[in-house]
Amino acid sequence: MHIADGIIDARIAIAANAVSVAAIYVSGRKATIEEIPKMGITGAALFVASLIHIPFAGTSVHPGLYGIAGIILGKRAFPVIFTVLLFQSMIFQHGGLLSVGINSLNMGVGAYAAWLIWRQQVLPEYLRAAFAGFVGIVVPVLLMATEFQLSGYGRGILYLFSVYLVVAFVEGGITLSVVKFFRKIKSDIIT
Amino acid sequence: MTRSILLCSLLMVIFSVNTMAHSIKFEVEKHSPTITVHSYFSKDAPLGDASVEIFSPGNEEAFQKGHTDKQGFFTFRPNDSGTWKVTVDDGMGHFDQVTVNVSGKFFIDEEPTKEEEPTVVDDDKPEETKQAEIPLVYRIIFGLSIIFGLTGILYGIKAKRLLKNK
Repeated sequence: MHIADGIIDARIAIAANAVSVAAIYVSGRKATIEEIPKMGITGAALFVASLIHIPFAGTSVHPGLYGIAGIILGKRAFPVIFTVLLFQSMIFQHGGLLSVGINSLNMGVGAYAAWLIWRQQVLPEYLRAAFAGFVGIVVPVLLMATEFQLSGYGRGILYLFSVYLVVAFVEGGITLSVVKFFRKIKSDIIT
Repeated sequence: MTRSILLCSLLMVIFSVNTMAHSIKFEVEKHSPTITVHSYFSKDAPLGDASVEIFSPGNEEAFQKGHTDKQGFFTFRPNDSGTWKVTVDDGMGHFDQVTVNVSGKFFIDEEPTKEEEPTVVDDDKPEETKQAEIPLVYRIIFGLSIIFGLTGILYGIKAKRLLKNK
């Protein structure tokens, strides 16, 4: 789910980096002292989760936890996702260094969409949590598939989407479990 | 139920440590007159049936195109010395490239002088292979240390500001 360098046009990748820096400023400014440890712990969880490689249906998939990041951090998820992707790219070559911006935008929008769903108080909490986890994967994959299609790397995109649809359902279950877990042990950690 | 799922997730993380790292790894073997590139995510997850393009030194147009076999192997026969580029794309978001330096010695060794098949030692390993030698766990610990370190620095700055304002 991490776009490598050389797929997206370099000018678009640079523009995405510029947009990401602006988004970091907007979403990260005035973070309170209570939010910073949460950002660090969530960032660490995201960092490790994305490195779990699971061979599945002839390809390799990994959990993202972007829905959980959206639920716990709200709009603060974006700077965390950017930082995590930057270090993953530098240490593991997981996604391109120049593509960090576009990858952050894909996954950050997923986390933001999850947060928006989570805030819809009219729905039962378990439904919001599961759906947020699901959306946290589906939105980045949809964005990535669109970018691939526009860049001429369309081969296997439908297959990719169907594989990640399964991941999205699993992640919905994981997100629901995490929310229920936090509700039991430390309810106020969730926004 | 919740505990079971969380426990399963934790176990999955623990047991997948050896197969982690989602990026494409390359191993290049030079057996004159051919070069074999092995692409994989981890030792038990080869990058099978991925599109491969071979670019000869200084050329933008592909010298050869094809697919890796089920085990992630692709073999080609270079016709010139210099830096060759091999790109691998499984069409599902996993795209990477590796450079292979082919020296003049590679072609000299094509004519065997001994009875046994000559093998060129890969003394110019690609960067990707060198980085793969650092144990994964150390790299994870390194990444986590930076993240927690940054968190600590930010926390310290915020705390200092709060104390100043009081």
